[in-house]
Amino acid sequence: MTALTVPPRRRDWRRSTAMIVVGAVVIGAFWSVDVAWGRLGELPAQIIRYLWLMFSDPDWSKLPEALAQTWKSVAMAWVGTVLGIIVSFPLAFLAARGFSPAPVRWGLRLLFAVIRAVPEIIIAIVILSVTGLTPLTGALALAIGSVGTLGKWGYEAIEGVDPGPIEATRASGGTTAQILRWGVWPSATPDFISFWLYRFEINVRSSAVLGLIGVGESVTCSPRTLSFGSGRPSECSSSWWSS
Amino acid sequence: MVVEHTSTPIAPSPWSVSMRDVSVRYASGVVALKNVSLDIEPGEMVSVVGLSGSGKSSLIRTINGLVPLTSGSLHVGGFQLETARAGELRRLRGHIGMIFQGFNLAKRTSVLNNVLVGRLAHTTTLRTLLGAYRASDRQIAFEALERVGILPKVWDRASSLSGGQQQRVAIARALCQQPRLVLADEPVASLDPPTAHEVMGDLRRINQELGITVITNLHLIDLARRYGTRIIGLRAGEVVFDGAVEAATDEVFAEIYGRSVASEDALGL
Amino acid sequence: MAVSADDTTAVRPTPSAVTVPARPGGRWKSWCAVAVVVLITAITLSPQWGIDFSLVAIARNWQNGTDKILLLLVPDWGFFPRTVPALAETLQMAVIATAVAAAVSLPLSLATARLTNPNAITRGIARTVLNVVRSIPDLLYAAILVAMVGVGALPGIIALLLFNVGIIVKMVSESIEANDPGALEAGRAAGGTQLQINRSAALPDILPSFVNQTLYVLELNVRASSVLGLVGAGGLGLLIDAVRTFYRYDQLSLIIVEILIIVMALDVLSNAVRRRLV
Repeated sequence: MTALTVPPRRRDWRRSTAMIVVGAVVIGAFWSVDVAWGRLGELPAQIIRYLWLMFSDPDWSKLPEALAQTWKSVAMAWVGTVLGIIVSFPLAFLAARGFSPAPVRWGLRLLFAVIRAVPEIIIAIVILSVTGLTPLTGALALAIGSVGTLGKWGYEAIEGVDPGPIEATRASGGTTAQILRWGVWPSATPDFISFWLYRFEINVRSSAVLGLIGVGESVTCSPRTLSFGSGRPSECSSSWWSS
Repeated sequence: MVVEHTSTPIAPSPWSVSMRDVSVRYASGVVALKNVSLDIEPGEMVSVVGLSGSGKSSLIRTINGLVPLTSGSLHVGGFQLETARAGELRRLRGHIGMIFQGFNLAKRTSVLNNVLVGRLAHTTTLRTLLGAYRASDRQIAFEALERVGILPKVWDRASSLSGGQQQRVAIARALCQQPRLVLADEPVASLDPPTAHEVMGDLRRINQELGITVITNLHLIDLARRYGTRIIGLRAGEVVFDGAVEAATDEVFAEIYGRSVASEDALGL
Repeated sequence: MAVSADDTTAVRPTPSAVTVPARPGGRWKSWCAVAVVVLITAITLSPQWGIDFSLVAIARNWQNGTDKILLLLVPDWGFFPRTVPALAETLQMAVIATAVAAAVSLPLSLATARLTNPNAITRGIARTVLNVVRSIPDLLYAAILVAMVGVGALPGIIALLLFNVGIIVKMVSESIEANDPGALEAGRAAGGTQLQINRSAALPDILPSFVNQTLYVLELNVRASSVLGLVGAGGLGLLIDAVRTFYRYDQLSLIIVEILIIVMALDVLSNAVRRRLV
C-alpha cells in the first residue's frame, strides 16, 4: 500500500463571488417583483382558446387587406434598411481605427452606442412629432436604428480585415481612398453584405411592431387593437398566415 | 491531501478479440474493412499498421462498437457485437479504454473531471448530472493519474497542459475505466518524438504491469516494432500481414504500404 | 544611380508582346443585383405602390415638431421619482426573464444540436418549435399575453422569456456544432449515455458561450422591457405611453437617459465578465 499525494484543491473565489452575486440578484428580483403568479395557471387554457379563435375560422375576406399591410411593412423595412446603409457605410469607415482622427472616431462610436441603446419604437415616438403618423416615420426610425448596428458591425469588420493588402496598397503609394477601395473593400464585402441582409431581416420584424404606435397603420392585426379587445383574433390569423 | 492506495489491481482479467469475416461499409458507400478475420489473445500488445485510409481507425472503432459492422461476426470479451443492443454496447465500452490521436479532452474543465469521464459507465445518470461522483470513483481517478505521473496537475484545466500531458490525461481516463482492453488510435501522431516515446512507454507499461490487452494503430514502422509484440498490416481494408514483430521486415512494410519504405515512415530517435 | 529614359522603356513590353486572356464572364451578375436593389427601392418609394416618401408632412409639422424635439434637450429631472418604480419593474422583468430563459435554454440547446442529440426526430421537432417561437417579435408576444393573462409584469416576463429562449438556443447550439467533437467521442467510447456525455464532455466546453449569450440577452431585455409597457406589459413602457400622449418630451428624454445609462452600464459590466471568459 503506497500513499497518493493529491495536491490541495484551489478555490476560485472570484467565480464563487460572481455566483453568489448573480444568485442574490435573481432571488431579489423574484422576491420583489409585483406579479400575480397565480395567473400563470390560466395561461394554457387561454392559449388553446386563442389558437382556436385564430385558426378555426380565419376571416379570409380580410386577406387582401392583410397582404397589403404586410407589403407596407416590408416596404418600410426596405426603405429603412437602404437609408441606414447609405448613412452607415461612410460612417463605419470613419469610425474604424486608422482612417480618421481619434475624436471623430470616438464621437461616432458613442453615437452608434447611444442609438443601439434606444429601442426603435422610442426613436419613432420622438420623430413622429415632425414626420407625422406615416410609414415614412417608421422607415426613418428603422433607418436610424440600422445606423447604430450597421455602423458598429461595419467598423469592427473593417478593423478585422487582413492587414496585408492594406500594407501592400500603402507600400505602392496609395492614398487613403485607394487603400479603402483596394486594401479593405475586397475583403470586407462579404461581411458587409451579410450584415445588410441580417439588418433587413431585423427591420422586417421591427416594422411589424411599429404599428403599435400607429406608424404604418397595420390596424387589422395591430397588437394594440388586439389587446384592447376591438381586434378579432380571426382577422389576425389571416394577416399572420400571409406574412 | 494524502489518501491510501486501497484498490485491487486495475485489470481483473484481460479480454480477447475474435473477428470472423468482418466487413464495414459506411453510408457514403466507402468500404473500410473487407472480410477481416483476426484473433487477439488476452494480454497481447498488437500494433496495427497501414497508410491513412487503410481501415486502421475503422478496425479499432468496430471493436468497441463506435462503428457498426456490416457483415461478419465479432466477439469481444463476453459480447457478440453484431447483435448487441445499445445498452449492451455501452456496457461493453465501459470495459474498453480508448485513446485518440487528438486526445479528445473537454478542454475547459479540470483534469479530474476529464479522467472521471472514464467512470461514466459505472455511474448513475443522476450522479453525473449533479457532478457528484462517488469517493471511490475519485480514488480510482487519482490512482490512474498517479500511474501516468500527472497527479500534481489534477485540478488544472485540461487546456493548460502540453500535448504530451494531455495525452497522459487521456490514458488516465482510459485506465480509470479499469479496462480489460485498451484501444489506441494513432496515440502519438500529434506529439514530438521524445514525448511520443514516453507515451508509447506508458502504453507498454499498462500492457506489461497490468496485463491489459492493448491494440494500437500506428503508421510509424520503428514505433510498431519497438512497442508491439505482434504486427497486423492493413491495406485497403484487408489484412495483408499478421505476425510477430521479428517477421515484419522492411519488405513486409513495403508490401503493406504499397511502396518502398522511406525515412518519413520512422519517427527516428 | 540615374536611370536613363532608354533603360525604362527597354524593360517595358510593347503592347503587341503580351497576350491578355479573355476576361471571365459573370460580372453582369453583380450589376444585375445592384439594378434589382435600385428597382425595389424605387417601387417601395413610389406613392402608389410603396410608402409615401413625401416631405410635405415633414414641412407642415416642422415648426411644431422641432419645438417638441427641442424639449428632449432639457430633461425634466423632477419627473425622476415617478420613474423609479417603473424602472425597477423593467429591471425585475429583465432579470427574471433572463434567469428563467437561461435555465430553460441549456437543455434545449443540447437537444437542438446534432452532436449532443443524434436523434433526428426529436432534434427536428425541437428546432421547428424554436424557429416558430423565434419568428414572432417580443412586442407581439406581449400584446397577445396581455390579452390572455391581464396587464402587469407577468405578460412582459413571459414575452421576454419566449424571445430569449429563441436567441440563446440558436447561438449556443451553433457553438456546440462548432466545437471539437472529440471529447464527446471519448465519452461515448467510455460507455456513457448521451445525457452523461452531454453533461461531462459537452457542457464544460459550451459554458463560456452560454454565459456570453445570457449576458447579451440580459442587455437586450433591459432595452426590450423598457417598451413592453406600451402594450400594457409593465415597466417603463407604461410611462412612455403616458408621456407621449401628452407630448411631454422633456419627461421622455429623462426616460431615454435612464435607459441609456442602464444599458451602457450593463455593457461595461458584461464586457468585464466576457474578458474573464475563455
